[in-house]
Formats: sequence, C-alpha cells, structure tokens
Amino acid sequence: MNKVWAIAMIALRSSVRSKVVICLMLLLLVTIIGIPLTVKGDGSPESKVQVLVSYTLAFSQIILAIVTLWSGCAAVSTEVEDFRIHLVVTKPVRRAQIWLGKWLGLLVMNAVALLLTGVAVYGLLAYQTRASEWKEDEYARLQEEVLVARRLVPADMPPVDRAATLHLRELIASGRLEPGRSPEAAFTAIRQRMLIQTNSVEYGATRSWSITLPTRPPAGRKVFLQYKYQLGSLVQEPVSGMWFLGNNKDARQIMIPLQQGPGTHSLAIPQEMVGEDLEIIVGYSNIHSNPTTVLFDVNEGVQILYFQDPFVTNLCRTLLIQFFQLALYAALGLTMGTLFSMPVAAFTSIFIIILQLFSGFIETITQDAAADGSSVDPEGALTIVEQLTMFMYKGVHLLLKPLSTNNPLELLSSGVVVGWDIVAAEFLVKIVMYTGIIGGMGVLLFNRRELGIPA
Amino acid sequence: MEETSDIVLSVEGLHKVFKDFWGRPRAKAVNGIDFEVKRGEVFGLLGPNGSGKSTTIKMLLGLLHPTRGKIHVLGKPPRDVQSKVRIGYLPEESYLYPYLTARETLDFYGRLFDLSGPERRQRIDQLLEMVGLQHTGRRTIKEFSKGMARRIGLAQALINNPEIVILDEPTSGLDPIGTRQVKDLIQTLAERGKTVFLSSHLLADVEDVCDRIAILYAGQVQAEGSIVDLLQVDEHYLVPLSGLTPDQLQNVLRVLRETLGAEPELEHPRRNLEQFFMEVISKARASGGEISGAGAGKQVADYLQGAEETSGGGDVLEEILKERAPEPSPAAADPASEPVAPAGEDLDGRIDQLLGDQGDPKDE
Ligand SMILES: Nc1ncnc2c1ncn2[C@@H]1O[C@H](COP(=O)(O)OP(=O)(O)OP(=O)(O)O)[C@@H](O)[C@H]1O
Ligand SMILES: [Mg+2]
Repeated sequence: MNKVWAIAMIALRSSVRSKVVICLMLLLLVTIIGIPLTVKGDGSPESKVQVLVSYTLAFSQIILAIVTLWSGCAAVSTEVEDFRIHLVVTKPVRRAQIWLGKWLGLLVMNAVALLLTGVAVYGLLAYQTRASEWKEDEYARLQEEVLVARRLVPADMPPVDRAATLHLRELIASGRLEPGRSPEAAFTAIRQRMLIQTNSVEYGATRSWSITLPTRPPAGRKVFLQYKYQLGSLVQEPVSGMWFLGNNKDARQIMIPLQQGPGTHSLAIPQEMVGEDLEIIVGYSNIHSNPTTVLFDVNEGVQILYFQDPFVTNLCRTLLIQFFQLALYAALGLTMGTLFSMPVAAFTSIFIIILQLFSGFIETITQDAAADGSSVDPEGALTIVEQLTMFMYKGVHLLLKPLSTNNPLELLSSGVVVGWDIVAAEFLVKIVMYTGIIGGMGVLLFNRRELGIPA
Repeated sequence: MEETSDIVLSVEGLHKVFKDFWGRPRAKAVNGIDFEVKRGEVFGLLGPNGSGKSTTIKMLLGLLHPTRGKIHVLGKPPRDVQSKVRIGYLPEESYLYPYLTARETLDFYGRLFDLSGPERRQRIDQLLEMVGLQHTGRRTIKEFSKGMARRIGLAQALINNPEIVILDEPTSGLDPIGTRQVKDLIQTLAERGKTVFLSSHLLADVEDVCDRIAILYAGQVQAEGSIVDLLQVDEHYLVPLSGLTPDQLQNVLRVLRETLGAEPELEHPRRNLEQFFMEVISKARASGGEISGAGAGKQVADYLQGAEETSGGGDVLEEILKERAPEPSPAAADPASEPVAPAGEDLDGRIDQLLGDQGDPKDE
C-alpha cells in the first residue's frame, strides 16, 4: 500500500502540474463563482436554486471529466514515452500497483476538487437563499420544498397490465391485429392508451388515486401533494377543480377547491391525512365551467412528497455519485494511456464517452431499423452489411446502456431525495462493474506491454 | 527460492529484433549472445555506439522482451517482481521527475522498496553526501545539470543496497571527480560481495574497474574474458624504480645494456590530466566560493559498506590528492635526478586499498 500511495502522490503532482489541468481548474473556479452571479433564472426561489445547483454542478462535472480523462490518459503514456516508467518498473512494483496508484492519485484530485465545489456551492446557496433576500412565503417554500431532500412517492399504478393483456387477446382472436405488427408493440400501445385514460378526468367527472407511503413522514414536517396536468382543449387557461383528500380507515376528508393552469403544482396537506396503513387517497373533480378534459401526466401525474433528509445530505450523495462517474473516467483514461500514446489514448476515450452519451440515440437507431425490417419490407431480409451494422449497434448499446442512469442533479435541485439506493446502484455499476472491467483490462494489457519501446 | 549457484546473471542465445508497427523487422540489435556473471564480479559490456549494450541491459531488466533466448537474473526470469528488491539500475540517461527535488526523488524510489521512513531519511542523507549533492537536496531536478541528474540516478540505483547493480554507461556525463568516484564506488561494491554489471564505451573506465569484459559488436560478443588474460602482454616487462641517484641509475642502465645487448629505453613518468585537474579544482575550492553544482562528495555511503562500520567520511578530492599525487620533487631539477617510475603507475590500486581497508566484505 505504501508503494501504491507513493505512486498516487506522483500521479497527483504530475496532473496538478500539467498546464491543461491548471487552465481547466481555473475555468472551474470561474464557473463556480461566475454561474450563480450571472445566470438569474426567472427570479423565483426555485429557479435560483435550480440554476445554482444544477448548472454549477453539471458544469463543474464536465470540466472535471475532461481534466480526469486528460490526466488519466497522460499518467502512464507520458511516462512510457519519456522513459520515466523505466525507473518504476525496475523496482519491486507490480504493474497492477502502478495502475492502482495512478488511479488513486486521480481519485484524490477529484475528491478534493468535488469537495471544494460542494463547499462553494453550498456556501453560495446559503448566501443567496438567506431570509432577508426573499418574501416570507418564498423563503418558507425554499426551506420546505427546495432546500431539502424529500421522498417522492408516485401514485400506485392502476392495474392496466391485465386489462391490456385481455384486450390484446381479444384483438388477436378476432383477427383485428394490424398485419405486420408484433404483439409486443401492440401491447405497449394498448397499455399506454389505457394509462392515459385512467389518468384523465373528463368534464364533470371525478377520479381518485391511492398512494401508499413506504414510511411515516416525520412529525412536524409538511406533506406535499404534487400534481401535473395538461388540458384536453386548445385553450390552456386555468381550470377549476376540487381535490379530495382522505384515507381508507378514517372518515376524515378534506376538500380543496383550486383554479390553476396546466403544469406542475403542489399543495401542502395535513399530516393526519396519512392513514394508519400509510395510505392516502386523493381524488380530483373536474368542475370547470367550460367542458374540457384534465389530463394528468402518466408518470408524474399525482405524487406525494415528504421530508426525509436535510439538503446537505442530498448534496453529499449527489457529489458521491459524480465522484463515481469521475472515477470511471479516470479508469478509462488510464487504461487507454497504458495501451496507447497520448493523443491516441485521448481520442479513443473521448470516442467511447461520446458513444455512451449517445447510447440512447443508438437505441432508437436499432429500434427503427428493426421496425423497418419487419413492417416495410416484410419478406425481404436485411442485407448482411445492415445486419452487421445492427449487430454492432446492439453490442455497443448493450455494453454502454447500464451507464446511462438517471441524473441526480435533477433530483437534487428539485428537492427530491437522491437515495442511498441510487448511490449504491451507481457504485455497483460505475465502480464495481465498469471500473473493475476497464481496470482489469488495463492491467492485463499493461502487463504484456514491452515498456522499453516508447510508442 | 534461493538461487543455488554462484551465477547471478546468465544469458543464453539472446536475440532481439526490433519490429515496426506491422511486425516487420527493423533492426537486429542483439544477435545471439551468451555470458554468465558470477557473484561479486565486475562485468563490463563494451562496444561502440549502437552495438546493443543498452538493449541487452534492458532485456536483463525486463524492459524489453527478448525475441529469442533465455535470461536468468538471480535465478529468476527478468520480469520477476520480487527479485527487483535485490537489483539496482542506472539507465543510460536520467529519467527523473523534473518537478521533484533531489530528496523527494530518492524518497519516492525508496518507498517503492518499502523502506521505512527513518531508513529512507538516513540512506538519502548518506547517498546525497556520497554523490556530492548534499547542498542541493532541496532543489528540483529540472534545475540540475546533466551530471547532477546523473548523480541522482546513481544514488537511486543504490537506495535499496542492491546485490546486483546494473549500470548503463555509469560515467557518462560525469566530471573527472565523479568518474573517479564512480569507479571507486564500483570497486567498493565488488569488495562487499556485490555484483556489478556495467556497459561503457570508455575503455579506460572499464579497464580500471572490470574483472571481466565482453566486447560487443553488431549485437554479437566478439571477445570475452578476464581483463588480465585479455590485456597482459607476456613478453614485455615494466620495472618501477624510484629514488635512484644518477650514479645508481647509470649502474642499472649499464647492467641492462650488457644483458640485453641493446640500449634500453628510458621514460619519465608524467602527471596525467586527471591528477592535474584534481589539483586545480582543489586549489579553487580552497580559495572558497559558493557551489551550486555538485561537490566532491564523501566516499561511500555507510549502509553500502555494512552496518557497524563507518567510512572515513573525508572529502574524496582530498583523499585522492593526498594518496595519489606523486611525491613532489623540485621541478627544475636535472631530469636524471628524478625518480624513474613506469608511466601510468597503478595509482588506483592505492585508493582502492584505502577504501578496501575499511571492513570485511559483507552480504546484505
Ligand atoms: N526502440 C528501438 N527501435 C528500433 N531500433 C532500436 C530501438 N532501440 C535500439 N534500437 C537499435 O538497436 C541497436 C542497439 O542499440 P543500443 O541502444 O542497444 O546500443 P548501445 O550499444 O547501447 O549504444 P550506445 O553506446 O550509443 O548507447 C541500434 O542499432 C539501434 O538503432
Ligand atoms: Mg546505450
């Protein structure tokens, strides 16, 4: 470990001394201080926090990613090129220890940078959201809904799967399934249509959702109902509606009349509305004066939010997730740098990251191609080249898909908890799986490399 | 597993062909060489530029992979990590981290040998003193001259008190004092039972220190054997004579003339340039003045000599001048009255004696 640590400290010093890294770190500093001061948002407290938190952290992440990749690629490749590695590998040090040491050095650099970023963001946030800056209700909203980590519980999914299956069977039995259409695609479409139906409230109608909370909200903290809808009519005006709140066990019920336009809104509800079985039932009546349908969002239509952690905890977990991402980039850069010389290593790793960023896009390509193959040209098979390309796309997609997980910054800046489950999942995917594989490959190939020859 | 024999380095049918990116042969650097080096020996690899010396050394260290042939270092293949604990290596150029200071550099390599903190500190102090850089320990390597960096390279090769020291052109870039010192160091190491493998094209250096040499040309061993066997000219003799009066000399010459039946040749010894250089530097130093470069340095780090004993600790320059300068004689004296000594008297032998007297050879 002593050896690994010695190598880590050298790697740290090497990268901190690189001109590229110095420039980027300066840019990072400018970003952290500059973004909150220049970007104003729409003036609401939410947008202020949004800008500060998500823009600053996203930007600093990009800069750190570039720094890490660059230093990772340079760490071993430059030492091979100028023969400094000769004096390291002729000591009793394993190549795995060298790899690990360099990786550790980059981790230390990133840990320090992220820590400073976190402290800066938190400090600026505390400064910009101080009580004197805002009206009383805005300040309260900031403290209760934005600068917290709230648990988000979606409404229980209506049992559409069974209904959709039955409907599909009926279609197939009566021969009404469109020719050339796969049953899977038909099922997805039917299910989606049913979900939209169960989430829409027609003129004069009432619909209810039940939400089961996983834990009891902490005493003394508000519980929020958050909802999001669109209107079926072309005129997007505020609509009158009536919310009912209750639960199965208690007879207590609350009615709240509201007139709000389409979009996302939230409503504080009393703690007591959460039943003993932790269930809440919410209903909505469409009592608008003009006939219009209120379409609740299929995924985020009705949700309950309640306090779980203070904001700092959430910020730390978000930074931890960013750290895992950077650790993966460090591993990628290092492994490329053990195989190739500097520019080649940098280009290769950037190429891989671009592939990853566009893996969603690649997914659509493969799906479109699949659809083309089956519907437009039912009897003609794909050409060999097309099949090969498809195969390659699918392979790349399969390899990189697990890396595109959800963005913790969105959760953080909207005051939703970034759970330990997400952190653990990220750790598992980014560190255990991908860093493990990339690092293992790096060490394996590094071991076989003849270091006496520079290029 | 301990190696059984006394052979610490063995090379058998070694070949190295450098290939280009497409695998086409580009240069045949080493072309089937064999040699063995025994424990405690000073082995020199000689050869002109590009003859494959560095290539061979890099293969011994596992930096290059042989195209064909077998290599054993301390009974292990060259890529064995554990046997590196017992090897010290000085590459042909100093490949050091420019932003580290001399101390940090040595500390880093010391850490790679898992040496404890106090041990590293102690050895670094001694090594810096030995290579004459005790005053520049806090300066960064990038400020160093070539020779200064080279001295640090030498120091790092010895930080683990190695059993085998592999030196690729150890004297290149060094000033005469440094060169002298490295040669003394090599001999001291050999006396302590360590094996030294070095390459050079400076024949004088090799001749002074090596027990055995191999001459490489075009990647092949052209000659190999002990220095004595290879260089001794059996039918010629040198008789060192000193302190003769002119009369005595005339007598000796007469006897020789009668015995040989021919006029014997008579030569005066000359100070060599090395001695003259030492004198000039010594005078300059005596007159004071800051040094930012390398000093003369102490003789040999204590830990390299064995634990209990301490070296003389004197300045090597002083030692050399004291021990090696010929007896000062009146400069303008009659040539005939000067002592007659063979040219190139083996002065090195004396300093070696001085160093060698300091203790018994010790393993580890
Ligand atoms: N990386 C390499 N690629 C191709 N050829 C090489 C490489 N390294 C060395 N060579 C060739 O191998 C031969 C031997 O080189 P080597 O460095 O061993 O010589 P050397 O005896 O150490 O010479 P010098 O006295 O100049 O240090 C030379 O012809 C050289 O051109
Ligand atoms: Mg060489």
